[in-house]
Amino acid sequence: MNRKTFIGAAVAATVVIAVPAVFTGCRRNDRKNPLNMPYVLGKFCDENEIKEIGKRYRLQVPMENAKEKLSELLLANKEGKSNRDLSNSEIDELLENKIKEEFSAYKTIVINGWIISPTEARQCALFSLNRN
Amino acid sequence: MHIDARQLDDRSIIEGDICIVGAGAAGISMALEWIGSPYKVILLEGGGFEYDDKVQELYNGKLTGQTYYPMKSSRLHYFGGSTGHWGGMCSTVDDIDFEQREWVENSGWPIKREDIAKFYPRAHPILDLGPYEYSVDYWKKQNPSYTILPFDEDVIWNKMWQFSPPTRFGTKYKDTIVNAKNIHLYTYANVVNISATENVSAITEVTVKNYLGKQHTVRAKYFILACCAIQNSRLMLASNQQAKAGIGNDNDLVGRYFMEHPEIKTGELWLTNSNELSLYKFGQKARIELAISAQKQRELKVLNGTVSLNPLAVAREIQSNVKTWNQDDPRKSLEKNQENWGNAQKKGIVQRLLVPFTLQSFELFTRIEQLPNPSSRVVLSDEKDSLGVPRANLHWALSPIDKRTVRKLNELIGQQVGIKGIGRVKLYDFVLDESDTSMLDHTSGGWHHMGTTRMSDDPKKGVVDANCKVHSIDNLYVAGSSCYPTGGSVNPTLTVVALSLRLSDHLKEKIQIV
Repeated sequence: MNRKTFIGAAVAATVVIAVPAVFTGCRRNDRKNPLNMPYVLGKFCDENEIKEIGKRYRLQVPMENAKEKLSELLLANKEGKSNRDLSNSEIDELLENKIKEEFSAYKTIVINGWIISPTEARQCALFSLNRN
Repeated sequence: MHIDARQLDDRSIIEGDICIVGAGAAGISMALEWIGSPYKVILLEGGGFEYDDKVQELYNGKLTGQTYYPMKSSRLHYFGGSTGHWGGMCSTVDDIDFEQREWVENSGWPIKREDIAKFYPRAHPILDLGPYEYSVDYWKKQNPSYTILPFDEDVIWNKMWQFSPPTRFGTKYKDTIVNAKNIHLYTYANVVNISATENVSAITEVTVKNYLGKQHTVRAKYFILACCAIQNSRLMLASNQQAKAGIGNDNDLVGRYFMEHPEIKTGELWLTNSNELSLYKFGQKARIELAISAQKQRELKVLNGTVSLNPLAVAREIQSNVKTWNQDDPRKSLEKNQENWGNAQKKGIVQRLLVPFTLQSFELFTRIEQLPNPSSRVVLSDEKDSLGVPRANLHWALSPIDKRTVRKLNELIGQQVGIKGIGRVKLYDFVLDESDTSMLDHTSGGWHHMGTTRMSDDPKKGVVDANCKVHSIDNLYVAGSSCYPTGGSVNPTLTVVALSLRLSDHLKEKIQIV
């Protein structure tokens, strides 16, 4: 690295460290419990925003304002049956399909400006309850 | 040939076959078509070859309604007209733009898209555009590495645009026009009145003045008004000595239905991959905007519109155009506007460092067609300009369907992004409330003035007919976007030139028959 390049890199690094983060992207994606964190949305939202979306959803849909209820709905298959013995990868697949189907059927909701599927909103809601 | 009207003897008589009023994109495009013909074409320009503030001041007027750019600075008043500061964005209108849509009041052209589209290939070289190619496939072939967003085209489709350098007509065509023997360009020749026969069925002459106090008369077989939507209607309304409501205004339509393309930041697109979507970016020969399909317009009963993608880090720093283009002097407005964009670029470089490079984020910038609204209009002021012509005042008015279109278009993009699993869309607050039909005060326009002499086969619904001839007046035509009954979703210049070429062909046929 020549001197000019080194100085440029140092300045860029300083800027990154010194300037507070202003974008809303999430650096942390809780994959230990996929029910808790919407995979795609979680890439763009930080924990506070996920929580906020979750809180707002629970206010909009008070019937789902409980961990058990949310888990049950999230794990429900097409027939409405809930399977609690799924592995994380199976949960991932189930949720991914549900989200895709909801978007395809134009079953979307807007919370905090984000156009998301009800499944994603429930994941946020569960996250907000678990982190309270 | 060029004649400075200030140098002529006062009260000179000028005679020719065709008289074109206004030397902007429409007027010059028409004049070029007549070079070498056996006809004498008089091209009247109010200004000279350079900016002159005294001439520019003639465009001043008052604004009411939706916040807009100052009247004095939103158009340029010298040879070349507003091509002196346009951005060069060009695309073609869509089939649906010409339809009478039952959910869009006052919609419908008396011509079809193909009536204009066949003139696009001729318009392209005039604007120094690339090949007449607006298919995504063509541009993708030029660079196979381009990524195209994989949306359902029956919902949101990828609409291609091309960029003119941008062509400055005043620079590019000055020598061609001045050296053409049968084109008689008169500068400093502001038309202040149109005179007609006793029964106002034909125009006999126009009166021109300049600020040296000289007045001349121009007589021709055909007259074409080509001085932009505000000034065309102003001139017709102000020519009210023989027709009380103004020339061609028997049905109180002149000046009404003023349209713009409302433009506003509406949200953010976050993508899970790091592709830069180069073909969606500004600053190349061509780019893509996301457009709402005709099918969805029908289904949702909304207007046409497109969304462009601007890298978020930069776009967040850009202020609304209507906030920066706020000086009466167009040169100062341009400088302030460019400074805003320049500063945003600089700040954006730093902001980009704060976003993980595995993600891409864009701001959604929405441009829509606006509903043709009769209360959105140009009216005459009680105040007169220095040549004694009443000034034009503008009342720009929007309608609830405009806001609904903005919301639906962005929602559809959000849904498509979700269906494809490539990211998510976040809408800005003002879009969210479905019951709020107002547009934000800082909604900008594209400096696109349209609709004040709208086209219709029915004289009670339009000022000009399908050939751009003023109803009830045999030899008066209007060129340019003032003839548009609806504005479509694309910038008007390419279609203005195409429509002017069409009018030119029509007049050539007509003059030969006569």
